[in-house]
Amino acid sequence: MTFKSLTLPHLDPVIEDVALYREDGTRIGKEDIVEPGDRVRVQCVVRNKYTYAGAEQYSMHVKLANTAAYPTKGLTPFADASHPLQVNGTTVATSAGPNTVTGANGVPITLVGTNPTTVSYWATVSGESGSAVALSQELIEDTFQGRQYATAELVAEQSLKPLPPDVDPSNPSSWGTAGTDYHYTRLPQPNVNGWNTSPVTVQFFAGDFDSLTVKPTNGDSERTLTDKGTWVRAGDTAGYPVEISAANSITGDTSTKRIDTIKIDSSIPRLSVDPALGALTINDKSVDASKATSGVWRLYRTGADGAISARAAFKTFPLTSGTGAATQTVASIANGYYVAEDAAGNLSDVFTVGTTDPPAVTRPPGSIVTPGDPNPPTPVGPPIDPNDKVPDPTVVVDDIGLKHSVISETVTQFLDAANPPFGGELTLDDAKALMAYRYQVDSAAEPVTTTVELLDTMGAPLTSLPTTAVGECLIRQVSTDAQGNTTTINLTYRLIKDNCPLVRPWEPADPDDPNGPKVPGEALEPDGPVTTDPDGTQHATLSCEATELVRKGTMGAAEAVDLLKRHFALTATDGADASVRTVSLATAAGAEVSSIDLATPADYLITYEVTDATGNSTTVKLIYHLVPSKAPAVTAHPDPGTNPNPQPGDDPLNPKPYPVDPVDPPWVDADGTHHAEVHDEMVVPVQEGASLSLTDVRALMERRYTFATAVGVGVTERGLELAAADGAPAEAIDLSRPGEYVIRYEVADDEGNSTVVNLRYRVKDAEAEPPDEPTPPDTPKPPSVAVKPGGGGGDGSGDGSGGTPKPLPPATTVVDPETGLAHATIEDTLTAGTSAEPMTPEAMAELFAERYEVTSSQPDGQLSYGPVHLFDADGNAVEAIDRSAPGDWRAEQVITDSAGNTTTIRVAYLVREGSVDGGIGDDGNGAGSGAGNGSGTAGNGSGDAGKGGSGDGSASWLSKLTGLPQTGDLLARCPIHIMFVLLMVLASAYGLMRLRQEAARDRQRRQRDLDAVWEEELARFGEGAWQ
Amino acid sequence: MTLLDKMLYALLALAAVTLAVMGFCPWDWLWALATLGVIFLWTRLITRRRKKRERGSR
Repeated sequence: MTFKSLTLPHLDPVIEDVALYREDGTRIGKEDIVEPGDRVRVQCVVRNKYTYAGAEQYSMHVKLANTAAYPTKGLTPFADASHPLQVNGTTVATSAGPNTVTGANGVPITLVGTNPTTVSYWATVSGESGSAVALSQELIEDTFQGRQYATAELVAEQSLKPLPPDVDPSNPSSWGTAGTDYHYTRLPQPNVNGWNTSPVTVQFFAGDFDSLTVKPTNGDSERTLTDKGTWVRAGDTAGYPVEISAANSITGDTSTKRIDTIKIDSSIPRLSVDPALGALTINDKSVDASKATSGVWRLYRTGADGAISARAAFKTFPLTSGTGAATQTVASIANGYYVAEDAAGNLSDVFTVGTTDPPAVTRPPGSIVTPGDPNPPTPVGPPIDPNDKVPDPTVVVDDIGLKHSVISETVTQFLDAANPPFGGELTLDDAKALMAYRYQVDSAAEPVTTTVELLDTMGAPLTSLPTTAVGECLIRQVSTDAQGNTTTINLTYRLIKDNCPLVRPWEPADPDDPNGPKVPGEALEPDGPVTTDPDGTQHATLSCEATELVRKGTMGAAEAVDLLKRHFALTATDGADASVRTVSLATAAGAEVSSIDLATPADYLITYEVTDATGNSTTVKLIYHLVPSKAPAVTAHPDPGTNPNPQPGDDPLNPKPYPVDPVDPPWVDADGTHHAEVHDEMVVPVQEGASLSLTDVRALMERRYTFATAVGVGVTERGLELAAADGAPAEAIDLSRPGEYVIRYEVADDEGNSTVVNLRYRVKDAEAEPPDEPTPPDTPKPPSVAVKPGGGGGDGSGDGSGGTPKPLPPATTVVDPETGLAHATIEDTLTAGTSAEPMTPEAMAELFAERYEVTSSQPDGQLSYGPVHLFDADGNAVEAIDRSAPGDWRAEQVITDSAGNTTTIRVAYLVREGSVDGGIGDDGNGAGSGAGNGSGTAGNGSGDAGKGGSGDGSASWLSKLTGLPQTGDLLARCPIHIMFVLLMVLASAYGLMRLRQEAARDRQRRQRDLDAVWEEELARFGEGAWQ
Repeated sequence: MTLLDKMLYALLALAAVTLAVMGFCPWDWLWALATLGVIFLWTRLITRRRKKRERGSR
């Protein structure tokens, strides 16, 4: 069980009456005056005021109390024989002891019922004349030690009242009545520390008193003031005590004395700072020794104006009796404006402390990418090079003197679709990593706290920034040192599109019409990051593919540009045209080639450089797929006399069928079908009254053309259109007068592969029009190539006097529609024996020069010979041909005339075992034999071994033999094959001879047998006859 | 077959194989096989003829 409280319900003690009596027994009233030293009797009555206390008794003690709440002043109890302590008239003590009012226990009493108990004792009036007498009694209940107090002011003070300290000194009307409410003023009033900062004036006002005396206690002469009289203390003093008392000459009353210590400090404290230590020193000691020093009391942190109103003290220094130390030091003082206050209240001038710089920002040493560093740091965002310094900060000082620097920087990063920065999204963590990579913050006022925010361009918080599209965000890092100085880094992070030229695939404007007009599609994205040169130009690399169908001809650098333009729109980012050049042509394996054989399916890697006007470039790596064409191949079967361009040797009355090849590259549709468009022309003479209807035109096309398909057994007509020369649709061809028509005939196989034949149908007046030239006069002609008589290769050219150059017709000739330049390819074959000496490009160039006679079609006849490139059988470029073992090689040289027309000599160089005499071949395209057919005798010369073999040129059969193709197909007239035939013939001849021999022997044997039989019969017959 | 027959046809066969081994072109092996076939054919004919003659002589 726990008791929360215990009470005595029948006890309600109370100190009912406290009174003072003079020694003569008269009671002392409150307004009476007692003098110090007077003996008075104190009587107090205590009783239990509980109504129904009955006869209950309670033991208690009565003590004198003297606390702040229950003061006793002006009385000092005592006891002696003549002045005993009595309880209810009974003496209980005649001397001081524990059971007296000032003893440890107090005066023991017993309350019985509600009867009063009187305690009386004697006391001496102490204190000053005119001062008040107050008594506090403490009643202690013995059982539970419960206490009750009672305070009584027995004699009122005859006080000398100065102007109360809480009045408004500037408003005298609020002070009350002078002379009554206050007797004198002491202005200015001292501050809480008792100090004044200016002279102190005491002024007396008559009323209750008619004179006032100011008496310095240091011995200075006193001065008595009458009404309105003043007394002034002007000089600084650390303590000037004065006694102030007043008197009334009429009543004889004398006021209490007031002791006032005047302290005046009129000098202000001074501040200084030690930059090295960062310590602030406050000095209140004046250089004027006559000045008093109240000591440093408080230090305020203020604004630039130094106002301290409503500001709490930054630091308060301890005071002793209202006086502080003359100097104080504050270590590690923060930047700011400071004002010191001494104990007197003097304020120093505002002092600015700015010794601490805001946190400094540098590049982290571990983040800088040093050129040549084998292990460069992994960048977060754009890499930092050694020249990429942190921008200079802008420093401002705020209203409390703290320094704040702001650093603004912008970084840009190019969009990279293949590898977007930050994995596609820049989050707050990424932003923190980016800031940590780019900035290192140091401060002299550690520790530094740092916060990072990810904001949008308007400053609103941002969760993340997508890095797959153009965008921008602000990353704000605020670093705050221990003093409150800050450094704010505003890093603007931008994702931009590069300025490299755009490569956009041509796409149908209408997706439902793949053959309709084409428009540029979305730009291709670079394969990797875009690089920026010191001059600001940007460079990107991208990859793309293009597929075309095989066709006749070759593709050089110029045609490769056309290829790229056929498939892609090339522009600068501002829409301006971009220039393009072919950097290299290479096989899929990476071997560079000078041209691409368009007739052979293969994959090639073509590298272009697309450049805009400002130097930005995009390197395009085009994978060019040449695939077999499934578009129906067209063969024309011209009617006699209708070929406008008969070739030499053609019989006009019996024209040969000829293939019609597409001029423009056939193409592959998105659905995989192949398509080609060919152009043909025929000429018919005017026939009076004749015409061709559409039906006749269809019959003409079906008769004139056959189509070879890769799929299915034939083609079906998709469309037939007839138009006049101006493009207007026509219903029929009028053969009665000259005119020109265009027949568009489209066929397709079962899979949809199609070919369009555009037949230019001309009706001409044979008499009026001159015959067409086989070749237009303005047709560009590439340099022509012929094999010199006995040209090179050690084929026994003899003295060269015999024979004429044998022209090599070009295998292909392509006219660039844009430049009008012709580019031809000459194919030839050379065979050489094995040799320890390799064939270098320079040696091959000399061989070409010896073997071929090249003639320019230009008037100036000038030619430039390109370097000879060597390739192995797989098309890989090689530096030299290894002739130590048999093998197939290829050599190419481009010869350009002054107009830019080119002829490429492409030679198949065959190395065969042993010494291959006069290794010049003929693949049916070029003429290889150098046997002179003129006046000279073939092979009578010395025969330069040349670069291809070691021919001796001694026999024409040898030249003929070497003129054969070295190897080839199964039935090719290869000398090796011929040797096999000879072996078989030899075996057969010997076998026949042997069979004949065996047959002859058989006949001889039979003859001998017959002869023997005959002789036997003759002998038998002779014997019979004899007998 | 006589020793001369054998030596001659062996020489021809060796020549055919040698040419094929030199590898001027892939078709050479086909030519060599054809040559060996011709040689085999004639050796068979000669052998049969000789045996026939020898049987007749007995």
